[in-house]
Amino acid sequence: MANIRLIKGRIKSAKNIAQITKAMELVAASRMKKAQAAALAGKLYADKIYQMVMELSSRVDISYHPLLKKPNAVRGKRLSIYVTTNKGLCGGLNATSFRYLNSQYVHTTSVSFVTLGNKGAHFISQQGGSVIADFSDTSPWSNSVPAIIELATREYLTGNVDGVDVVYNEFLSPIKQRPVKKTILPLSIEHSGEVEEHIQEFLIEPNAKEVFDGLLPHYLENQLRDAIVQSEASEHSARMMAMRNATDNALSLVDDLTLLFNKARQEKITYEIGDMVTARLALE
Amino acid sequence: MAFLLEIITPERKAYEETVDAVTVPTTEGYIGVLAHHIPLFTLLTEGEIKIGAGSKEFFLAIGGGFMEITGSRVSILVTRAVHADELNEAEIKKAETSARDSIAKRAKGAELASAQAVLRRSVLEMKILRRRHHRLTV
Repeated sequence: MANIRLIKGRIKSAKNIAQITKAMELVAASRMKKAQAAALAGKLYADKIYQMVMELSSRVDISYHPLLKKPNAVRGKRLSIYVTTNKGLCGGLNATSFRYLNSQYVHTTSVSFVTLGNKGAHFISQQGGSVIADFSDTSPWSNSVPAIIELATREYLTGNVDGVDVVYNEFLSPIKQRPVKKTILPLSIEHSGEVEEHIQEFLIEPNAKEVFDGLLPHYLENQLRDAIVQSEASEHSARMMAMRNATDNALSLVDDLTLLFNKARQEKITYEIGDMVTARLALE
Repeated sequence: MAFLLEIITPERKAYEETVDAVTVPTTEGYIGVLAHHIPLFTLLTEGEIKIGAGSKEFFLAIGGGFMEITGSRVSILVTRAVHADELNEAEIKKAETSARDSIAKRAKGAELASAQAVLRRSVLEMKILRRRHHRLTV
C-alpha cells in the first residue's frame, strides 16, 4: 500500500528534523553558558567602573563636561543603538523586540539607528527608518564597541541628536528575556545618599578633566558591551528553548505517525487474511 | 604595612591579594604605592605593574586603565592584565616578528596602528618574561 510507504517517509523526515533541532539545541546551550559566564565576568568590572564614576563625580565638580550637559536645544531627534540577532530560529525573540521598538519610538522618522544584528537592520529598513550604520558583520560584536561609542558621542556632541539609547534583550534567566531601552547619553549621574569621607583630601592626576575624558567614554563602552553580552546570552537561550520545543514537537509527530503507521499496517494484514479466507472458501 | 590590591579586567579578576607595595605606570610616569597612600585617582598607560608582597615580587603586563586609591584599598581597572607565568615566549616572539614585518612593509592606517600596538605589547611582555627568568636563575 502506497499509504504505508508515505507514512514511513514522513516518520523518517520527522526523526531527522528532531535530530537536527536537538543538535542545534545543544550547540545553543553551550554557547549560552559561555555568554552567561562572560556576562557574569563583565559585571564585576562594570560595577567597579560605575562606582568609580560615582565617587569621582561626587568629589569634584564635573558638570562642565560636555557629555554630562543636557542639550541646549531640544530637536526631538534621537540616536538608537539597536541590538538584535544575525540569525533567526530563536523563537519570538526578535518579534518581541520589534514590537517593543515600535512601542518605544512612535515616530521612527525622528530616530536614526545604529544596528547590531541583521534582523533588526532589515526590520528598520522595511519600516522606512534610517540606519546610519550597521555593525552586524563585525565578529565578535564587542570589537565594534569603540567605533559605535565614538560615533554616538560625536553625534551627540555636535548636537545632531538629543540623546542616545541602547535597545537590547535583557537576559533575565535562560527561559526569560525582555527587550529594554537604556539611555546612555546624556549621562545621568544621580547622587545616591552615600556622603562619606567627602571632606577627605583627594588627588586626581593629571587633572579632573583628563581623567573624565578617559573615564567617561570607557564607561559608555562598558555599558554597550554589557548590552551586547546580554543580548548574545538572550539569543542563545531563546534559540535553545525554541529548538527544544521543535524537538519535542517533532518527536510527538513521530509518535502520532507511528500510531498511524501501525494502524495502516494492521489494516493491511487484516485485508490480506480476509482475502486468503475468501479465496479458500471459494475453492472449497 | 600591607594593603589590599585588586586588579580587574573586563574578562576577570586578575589579581586580589594583600600586598606591601605596587609600582604602576601612570600617564605622568611610574609611581610607587605603599600603604597609607593619599587617596588618588589616576589614569594608567600600557606598561608593567610590579607587585611586592613580603620578599616576593610579581610582574603583570597591563593595557591602559584607571587606578583608584582609597584608604586601605587599591583598585586597578585595566583593559587587560597578564601574569608573567601566563605568557608564552614563542607566541610573543611570533606576534612581535609579524608586527615588525607589517611595519617594515609600510602598512597604512588602521593596519599600522594595530601592528604598532601589537609590537608595543609584545616588547612589554618579553620584558616581563625576561624579568621572571632572571629572578628564577638568581
